[in-house]
Amino acid sequence: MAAREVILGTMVAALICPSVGGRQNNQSANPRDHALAAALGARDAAQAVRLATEALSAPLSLPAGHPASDVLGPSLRSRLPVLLSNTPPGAISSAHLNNLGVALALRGWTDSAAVAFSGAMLVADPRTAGMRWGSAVDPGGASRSVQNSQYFSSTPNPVVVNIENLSRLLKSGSVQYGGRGPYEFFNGLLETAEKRATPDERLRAMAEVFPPIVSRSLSDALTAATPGAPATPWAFDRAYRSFAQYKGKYLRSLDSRRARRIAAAASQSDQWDDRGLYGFDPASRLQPGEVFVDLYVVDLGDTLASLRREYVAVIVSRTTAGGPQVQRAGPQVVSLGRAAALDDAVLDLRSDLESPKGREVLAALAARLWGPVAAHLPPGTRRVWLSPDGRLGPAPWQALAMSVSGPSAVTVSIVDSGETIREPRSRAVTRSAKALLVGNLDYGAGKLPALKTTDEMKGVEEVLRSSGLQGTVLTGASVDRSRLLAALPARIIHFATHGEFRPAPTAVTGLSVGAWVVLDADLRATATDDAAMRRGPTLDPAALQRQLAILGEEAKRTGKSPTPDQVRAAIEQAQAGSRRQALTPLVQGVLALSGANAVVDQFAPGSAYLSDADLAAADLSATDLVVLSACDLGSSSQRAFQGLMSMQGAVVLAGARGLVASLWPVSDADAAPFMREFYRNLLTRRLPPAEALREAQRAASVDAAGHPRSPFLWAGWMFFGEGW
Amino acid sequence: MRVAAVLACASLSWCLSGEVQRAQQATQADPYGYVVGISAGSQWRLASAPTDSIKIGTVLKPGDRVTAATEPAATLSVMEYATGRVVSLKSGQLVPSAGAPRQSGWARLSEAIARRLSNERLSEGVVRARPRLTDAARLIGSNPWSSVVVDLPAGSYRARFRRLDREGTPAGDWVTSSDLTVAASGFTPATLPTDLGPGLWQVSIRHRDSPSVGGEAWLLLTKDGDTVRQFNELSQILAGSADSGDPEVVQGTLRVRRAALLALAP
Repeated sequence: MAAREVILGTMVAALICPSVGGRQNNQSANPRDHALAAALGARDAAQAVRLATEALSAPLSLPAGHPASDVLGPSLRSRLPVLLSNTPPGAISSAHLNNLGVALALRGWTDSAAVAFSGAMLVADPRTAGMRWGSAVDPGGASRSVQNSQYFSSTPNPVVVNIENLSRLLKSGSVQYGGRGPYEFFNGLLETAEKRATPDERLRAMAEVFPPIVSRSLSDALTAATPGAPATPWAFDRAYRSFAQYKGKYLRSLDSRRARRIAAAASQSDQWDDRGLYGFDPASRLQPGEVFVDLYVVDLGDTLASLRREYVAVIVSRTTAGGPQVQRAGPQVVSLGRAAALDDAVLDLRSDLESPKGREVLAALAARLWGPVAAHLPPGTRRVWLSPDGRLGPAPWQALAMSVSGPSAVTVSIVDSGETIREPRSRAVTRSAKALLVGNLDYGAGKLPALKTTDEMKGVEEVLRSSGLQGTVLTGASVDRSRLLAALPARIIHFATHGEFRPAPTAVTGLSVGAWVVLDADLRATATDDAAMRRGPTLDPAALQRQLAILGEEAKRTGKSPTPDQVRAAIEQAQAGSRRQALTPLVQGVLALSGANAVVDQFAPGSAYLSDADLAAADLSATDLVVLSACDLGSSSQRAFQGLMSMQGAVVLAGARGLVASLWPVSDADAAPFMREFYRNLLTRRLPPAEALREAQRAASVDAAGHPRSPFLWAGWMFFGEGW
Repeated sequence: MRVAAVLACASLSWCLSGEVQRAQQATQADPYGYVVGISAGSQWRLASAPTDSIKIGTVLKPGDRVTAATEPAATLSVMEYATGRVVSLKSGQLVPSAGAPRQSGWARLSEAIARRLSNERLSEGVVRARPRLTDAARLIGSNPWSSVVVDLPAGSYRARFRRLDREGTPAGDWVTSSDLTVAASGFTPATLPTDLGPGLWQVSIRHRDSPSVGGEAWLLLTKDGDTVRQFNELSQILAGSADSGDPEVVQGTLRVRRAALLALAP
């Protein structure tokens, strides 16, 4: 049984790899046949269908007469040949693959179910009607043709669910399923939660399936709804719009129509109507003195020969001149210049800052990147929310602002998209008095040297204590992942340890991260990255099949289902066996814990490292701030639909309000005074975190005699997230 | 002792047969080693010169005593004259004897390294991440990447070079190579730009999407195979020190490696 599950999972994975099939379209009448056969190592699609049919023959655990019994059982089996082989490309609907996902989940095949759900989400999303494979049927019944490049621009926002809990809820009958597609399916979850009496119970119900940030939004939407009224589809929409901060930015940036509008605005006018770009009015979310700067990389030019890629900044602000009513100033669209040159300048900055000309290098980049933005900021601007795009995420935005405008420059908070900006601010600062400090860890002998974090820990603890916070301090040789996660939640979490960042490869085939499944996991390239599309997935399906088959045999022998960690390890093993570097999307950043030197692969599941995936799966909704006094973990790799990944994405996903991290290496000697100053600003002077950080950077930018210090020592710190 | 001397000699390619005799004649005048790392904020003194602070490059003679005037728990990292290893000494410790007899070839390099240890360009703070690149010496025309790259994830990188002068100071602008692709199967392109001539270069490699991934290293390009062998043997000797987990020793090891590159550079 387990082996069949594996085969099916692989097959479905192949089915939902449109770029592979699509690119091989010229060689096959039906691209899926080719992809399917390649993935399965099967003789032909017919054999694949036979295997899948057998896999779905296991009995369902639905009550007798359940309305979905047929659509998840005999009917689905009979439709498999249609689904998986002979269907004209346009005829696969969201319901088909979603049914397949539910059917598998009900049979306990969570990993395969996740892949099937992923297909459902990709094939058709009710909010965007995005389709693929040349033509498609959207929920409204309209058909339209799309080109390959448009496929990526029309695919939906992703959905992240806890697949294990989802499977359990389905099997217990807690969630009704009508078999009508993902929209109705998730609405079913909503209706289930709505029946709970109190907001807390609703929150708990949603938290079983969705990440904290989605759960909160869903619960809020339900609580605000008219009592007794049925849950509306829009509640789910609203919740996922909040969640879209996680990834929505890149969906929009790749939307060719919107990009064209931005491009047109950039070239023709400095005033531009943004209706339709956002699903909300970003200006209405801004408080006085706040500005939202939304960066985009866009292709300008009408012909291939004239095509040029540029960065533009959409500057959204508000004025209060008209009294309490928000006066729309109208967004300004400002061109920042050629993308390639700016990308190289940001790339080179990291090395060039260490030279004696570091300050000049920073100033030159600031003039190019921040100068045009600063010129359009309204007088009195104090805070900028900035949503980067393309390869501008790793630019030291706060330091760029300080380089142009001086030490009292605006504060810059990096967000995934304007969705992060909420008005009113989503919640008050947590009143919890608990803080968690992790440092002075014993890594054992090996490549990671011991760190001298005693001064930093002592300094931070003193400030926390003087501010009335009780610190739990984890140090020494026994701080593993379990112990650390058991110490959560905390209002402030501070790590002083080694950090490592490894960007996800361009081609990502991620499936599951623990119990959390990223359902858009097979996206692998930007719309214009044809080379990446041709390369296809980095995960060799045959290698995955072999690994999961081993796992399946083990499960059969022991009678126990594999744990998510085992599945993940199998996936990673398969990746290692095929093209080594493929990763699950979230595992890009890790923090070293006790005994880390004994670990060979720090990115593999284990107890001596805490990964971004671990943080993403934690509930940090009671956490105001996570501070990573570690190297490089302010970095992120930006991929289509994946937003700011790594620690930034993980912390947002987990529900924390902000993250302080460095783009660059952190040294012991500099971290201790820097962190003491930051926490003093935050807790004693009660400055918002972005401002507390800017003030600490200002202090670190000069030595005791007032002489400028290298920007390398202070410019890499950034604040990410909602903050307060 | 004789056996030890011969073995030590055999392990070092620059040991010349005529110099074995000298190797057997270590004298009390030979130093135990050179100071290559001092804990930040600590001050150290020698019993033989109590008024002088120990500095980077200070020669330690056998039988002398090192004492930390501040921070008694601090350690002093030292490059052993006879072996090239980097070890740590505690406060109050007697400087050990010189150990195995030196070889003249090694002695020349060791003394050349010692003369360059105090160069500030060699210092680099211990940072909170695992090193991804390491310093290397390579023959011109060979593939340098396998020597320089310790741990880079697959992806597209931008590699740049700039020449370093005899003090390790950048002596010009960056010269950009073509993009470097790192894959499980190797590096593409496998060769360096043809305009990189003999000499000491700083190489910077940065991931196209995430500039924090990558690093800087020193690369000595030479036409002399013996130079490469000497540096590689020294690197092997230092490998254990680099993985000791002791931050002072790690720092000292980096300093020794770079001082060696300066000493070996044409």
